[in-house]
Amino acid sequence: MDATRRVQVLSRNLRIVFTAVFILIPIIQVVFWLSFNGLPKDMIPKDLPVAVQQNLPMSARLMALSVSFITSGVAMACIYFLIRLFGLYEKAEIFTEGSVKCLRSLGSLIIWLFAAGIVQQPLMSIALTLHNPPGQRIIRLGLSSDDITILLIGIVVVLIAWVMEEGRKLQEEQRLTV
Amino acid sequence: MAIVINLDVMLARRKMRSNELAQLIGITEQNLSILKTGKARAIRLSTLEAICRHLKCQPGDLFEYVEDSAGKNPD
Repeated sequence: MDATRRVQVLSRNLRIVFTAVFILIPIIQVVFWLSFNGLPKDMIPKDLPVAVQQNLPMSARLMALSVSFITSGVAMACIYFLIRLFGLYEKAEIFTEGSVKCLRSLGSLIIWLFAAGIVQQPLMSIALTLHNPPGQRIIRLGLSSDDITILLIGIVVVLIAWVMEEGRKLQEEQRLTV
Repeated sequence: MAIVINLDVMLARRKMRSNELAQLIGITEQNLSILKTGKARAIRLSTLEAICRHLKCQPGDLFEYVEDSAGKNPD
């Protein structure tokens, strides 16, 4: 199998996987928060901004669900562009304007994902503790290594988009060389 | 582009069609069309040699430099 064919086959498989992920993200979010109180303890993520008991009122869960869509929404936008990118690679459109634009958008959105994570944390801590009595409500703000990793990945993807743009120019040059 | 390609003129002089020349020199009609319409960014020396051989001409017969960009390759 030649290199282009390998790219096409793998891209097709990845497009299918990410399409499934795109559909599952909102479903899982809704199911998770609405059934939060009944979940097994080991299904509760350890990276929630505050430790919570599994007796959250519906209002708190709905608020947490809304807040969770800040990062989930941006993540879904990232996955949308990944699906588009793999769709183009599947058609062997690798060094084209469309694929470069997808990559550039993806990089920018990953950087926005970093920002969304920073914003979400205090809002999530408020959503999860607002129902508590005064004195037991928490606003948490922080920056973790995971956030920095996301930011760096976004910057790297933008750089790769710039490199792919140079590749596009070279391919166009070659296409117009007789 | 400042370089005008007079391929149509040479084809007319030699009474040869584009598709015939494309087949003789081993490139696609689409590529030859890119050359004829002035969209080409570069030409390989091997292609130029093949064109000159089959049209029995010199490279200078095919290319012309014009100062302004209004000089386009006539169809």
